[in-house]
Amino acid sequence: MADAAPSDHVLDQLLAWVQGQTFGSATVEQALGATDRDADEEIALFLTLTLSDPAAETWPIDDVLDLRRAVLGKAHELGLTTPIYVRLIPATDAPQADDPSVMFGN
Amino acid sequence: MQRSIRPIWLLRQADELGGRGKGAGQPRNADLRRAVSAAYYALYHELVLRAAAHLLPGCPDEDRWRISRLFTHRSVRQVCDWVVGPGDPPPRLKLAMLAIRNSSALLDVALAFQTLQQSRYEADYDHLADFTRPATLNLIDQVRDAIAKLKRMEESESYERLMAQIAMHSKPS
Repeated sequence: MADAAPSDHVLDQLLAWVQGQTFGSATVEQALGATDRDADEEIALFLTLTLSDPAAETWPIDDVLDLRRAVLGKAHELGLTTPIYVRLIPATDAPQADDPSVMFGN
Repeated sequence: MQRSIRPIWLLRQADELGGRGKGAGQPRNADLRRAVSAAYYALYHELVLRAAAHLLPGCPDEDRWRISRLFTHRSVRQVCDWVVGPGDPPPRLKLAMLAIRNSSALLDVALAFQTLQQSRYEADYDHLADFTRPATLNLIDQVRDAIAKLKRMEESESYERLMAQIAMHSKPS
């Protein structure tokens, strides 16, 4: 794998391209990116995409696979050589069972 | 009684911890993290068991279970990285890897492994990583989809190539 981090310009291009795109029922409402070391200590690109809330428990897998493939394809097109990881978060952050507000009713 | 590690059982555990079908709200954060880990191990064991079957097609399950201990996470990941890219595989493997990459189903399998391995690492070690129910269930679905695609592709030449590469690049840790 390559050691060189992608340039800010390329990262900006990738983020601008993915922001606002719709894949089936999932729309990318916000796109953030950063370079960091992955589990293998390789320099990698991490995209954090905020998606529109799913209609059910999660987004349809085919929509998300389309998104992941499209990001990978665009990265190839932009000449990126580092691993790319796409993290998804829903637009609404519902409380989790052990959040203080849930446990103590605040 | 001998009870092997069954990927489908790990996926069921992941679903339970991830709160599948539990209605509104989100599970405990620790449960979401463990769900991601279980989903990753489901895919790891599925791939390794299939590669072991590729090596020992006519042998009893116990022989395959023993040889599966020789595979390593890193070697499976290396093959998946070569399939997914974006970098090029080593020249001597390029033709084989590009042939696998041409199968969209197996590309999805390799991409799932890459995604889940990193997610498992974050689930276990990264305090700053954000795990939510929708994203966790989607990672589990990605594993389930990858396992279905492996089954669908198992008679294909691309599948044979992928299993051969995983078997060839695994060595005792």
